[in-house]
Amino acid sequence: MREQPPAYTLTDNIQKMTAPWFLLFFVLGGWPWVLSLEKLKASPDVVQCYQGLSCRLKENDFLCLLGGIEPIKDPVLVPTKLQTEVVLQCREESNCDLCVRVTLYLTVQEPRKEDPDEGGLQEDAELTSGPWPRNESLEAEVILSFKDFLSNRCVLVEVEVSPSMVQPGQNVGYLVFDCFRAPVGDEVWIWSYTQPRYQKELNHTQQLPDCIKPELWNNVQSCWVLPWFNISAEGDAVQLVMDVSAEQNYVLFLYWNQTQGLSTRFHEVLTGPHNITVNNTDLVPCLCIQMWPNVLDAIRNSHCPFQKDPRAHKNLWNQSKLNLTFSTLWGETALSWMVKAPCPLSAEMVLCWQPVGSELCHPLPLPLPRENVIVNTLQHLPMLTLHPNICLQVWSRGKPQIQKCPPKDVLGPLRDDMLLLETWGSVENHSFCAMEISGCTPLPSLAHTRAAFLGKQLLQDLQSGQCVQLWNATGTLWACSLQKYTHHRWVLAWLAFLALAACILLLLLLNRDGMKGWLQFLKEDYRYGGAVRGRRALLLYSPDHASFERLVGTLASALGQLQLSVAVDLWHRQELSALGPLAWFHAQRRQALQEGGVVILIFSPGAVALCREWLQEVGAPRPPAPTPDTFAASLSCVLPDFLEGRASGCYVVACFEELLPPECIPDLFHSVPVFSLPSQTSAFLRALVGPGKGHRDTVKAHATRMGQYLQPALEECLQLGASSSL
Amino acid sequence: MRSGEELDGFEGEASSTSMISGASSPYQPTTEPVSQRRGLGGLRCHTDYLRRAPGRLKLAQVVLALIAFICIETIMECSPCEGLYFFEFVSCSAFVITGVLLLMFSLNLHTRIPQINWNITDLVNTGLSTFFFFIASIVLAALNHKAGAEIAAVVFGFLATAVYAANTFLAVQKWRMNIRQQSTNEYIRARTESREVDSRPEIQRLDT
Repeated sequence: MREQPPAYTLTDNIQKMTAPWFLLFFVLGGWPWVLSLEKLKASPDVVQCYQGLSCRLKENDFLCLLGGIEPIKDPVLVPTKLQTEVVLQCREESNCDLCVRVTLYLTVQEPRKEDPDEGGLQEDAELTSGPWPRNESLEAEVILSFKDFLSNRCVLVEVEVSPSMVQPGQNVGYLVFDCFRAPVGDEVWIWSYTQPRYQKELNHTQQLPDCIKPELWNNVQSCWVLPWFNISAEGDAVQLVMDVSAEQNYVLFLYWNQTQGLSTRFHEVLTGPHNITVNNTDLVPCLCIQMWPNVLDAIRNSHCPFQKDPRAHKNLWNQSKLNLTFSTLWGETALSWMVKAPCPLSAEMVLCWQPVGSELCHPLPLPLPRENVIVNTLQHLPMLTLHPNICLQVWSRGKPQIQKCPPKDVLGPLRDDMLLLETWGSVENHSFCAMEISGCTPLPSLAHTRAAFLGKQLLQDLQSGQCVQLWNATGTLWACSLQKYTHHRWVLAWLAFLALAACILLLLLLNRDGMKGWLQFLKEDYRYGGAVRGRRALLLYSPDHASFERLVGTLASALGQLQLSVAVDLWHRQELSALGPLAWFHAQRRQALQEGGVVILIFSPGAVALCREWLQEVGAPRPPAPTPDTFAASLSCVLPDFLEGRASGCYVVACFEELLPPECIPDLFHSVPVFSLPSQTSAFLRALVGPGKGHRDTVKAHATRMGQYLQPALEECLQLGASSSL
Repeated sequence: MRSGEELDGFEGEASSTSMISGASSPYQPTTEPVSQRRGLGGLRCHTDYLRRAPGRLKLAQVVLALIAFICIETIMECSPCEGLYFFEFVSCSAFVITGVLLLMFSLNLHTRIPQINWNITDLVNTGLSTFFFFIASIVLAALNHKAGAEIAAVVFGFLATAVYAANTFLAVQKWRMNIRQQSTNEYIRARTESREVDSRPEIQRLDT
């Protein structure tokens, strides 16, 4: 607010009458420059002096030069304060021009005594301490210099003061110059100094108002030709209705008035009235409109009508973004932030803590500088260590407008940490508090919150250096890990494992046979490759004595391990006695041959003897003892096949070489392969397995095992021999 | 009568020799009890086991271990947590293993695995459980934060220790009795075997 000179002749009492109206206008419209302008009658330039000064306008519009500063030898008049005011100079009603009125205060300056830097610039005039000794009046020549965009002008005023009016320590008086004309919207620079100059010149800048003010609009003619607009709000959009005549050529300029400059949104040369629609979403508070006639150096009208529009502010916050930048320097990651917005914002950036599992971010009571958001500039956040739970919030008008947390791929996911604030009290007294949902809980505490429960432990961790320091300014931030205080449920995995093992055990117990069979099947399959599958084998032998029977039984069970379906009369005595040996053997032989099985003839001395008897070979010795009939029955079955020569492929002959040499076997039986056990066991087994199955290794393994298996029975047979009873 | 598939084992087992000797006389009587396939895979709940002291003690142990485990699981925060984890582990393992043993003894499933000495197994289980429950309860009592759940867990831990101790005592008694019985049994078996050697079954002549 500019001061008014005390005594003043007003041609118009507008100010006094409209003072309360101005306040209302201010509240309602918020226009700049709410004071109304004084109206002066048009007259040539005049200067008036007050309070003991007398002056005369010596020269108007002369060429002035700024001379050098001269030292003061005698007391001189110097200007102390320069004030300017904008007035309207009217030739007639509604035909006014803007004018700048200058008020200059003067005082008497004594020469300085014992001044160390004589000849340098002297600051504000030191007033005399003693009374004024002179009798003569003091004179001075004051120059007022004006400069605006287009013109340059100087005025020389002669000022005289009578010695009786001088009072020490006060301004002698002031002069008022009416006035400097300047165009609307211009910026005027005014200097004032004496000639000769004794001190640095006073200067002042005066910005003349635009045509927007109603007084100018109504009174200044140059404003009439200027195009202007009216705003009409229609629902969602804002319409700019041009107040121009049909042929008027003008430029319309919409821009964002940002701190760094202007950002053009619309710049067009238009003719005649147009309706410009501004979308609601494009409204921002700093959207300003300038219009001027399409001539060179035209006066421009600019106005920012949306500065208090709530929709515009909402749009501004919708369009504002907080960008976090992580830069890695010498292995350390630093955080910088920038708020991108179209208009300057009055907001502040606050750090906040987001605990894991919560959506709310609690602002930290850290003393960050207020109003520290500078739009569109990168600012550095001096954090000692970056933590994923520390987020940034932009607060404006008492609530958070924007919140941004560090991205997961840079700092990782949210950690289950506890934030401790350390504030330094008065006498090196550090007090701690833990940030929780309900606020900052002071530690140690007896409350029932998680932080209070772990309070002592957390403080101990902090002392021992297990917490990470995040911030160190007037308060310190520490982040303590709660990992080791959380009850991790590893035991549930152990429980599941035990339960599974118990279930498997119970399952095995309940279904033992099935399991066993399956296990055996697995064992057989894996180890022996499953040499034969249920091939039928009929074992025929002559039961000479009990140990031989045992031997054959052992052989039969060994062959049974090979998955051969072994039939031997030892195991089917019941059937044998029921059917009779002949019938049984016939049936077995038929079954074996039908199923593609094999008939194994085990030869022993008794068998050979019987064969010889039957075949009536000459020179065969008589059998020493009557042989059992079972072999006779079996021989009666197999002999026809041998005699007719169709025995090959189905029959195999074997003998235990230690009991009977293979040569003793009658020639008739040599038409089929003859194997002497246990030396030719593998060949014997291979013959049993059948053609086309090349399980060499498994057959060999079987042969070895069979040899080992038969060994004890064979030895027993050899030892006991015929002494063992049948 | 046996077929080749019924033989178990390639090695010379007692069954095959008996089979061979049995081959000489196919009508040798067998003294094996035939398993009755009744119920679910031959299961029958032997409630008499549960009526006697060991069964009841086992049931009590299972219940107490489960309650102690549940009590300790309700705790969210711990400082330090090691005592808690140990107690958890002990109660969980005791619960499962004792539960399995209880199940096996009450359903008589332990007879299906004659290779394992079940008395020794039971003794070892109860002895170890007693010891570990005792240690875990003491450790938890020393480290607790006066939280309700922790105190409850300690109490149930000590109760379980007492029950396991009682069971150990009974099992030790049973084991001692078994040892005395075994020594007398072996004498009797030796005498029976020597008698059996003399009478060997004759081979029946089928065509006479």
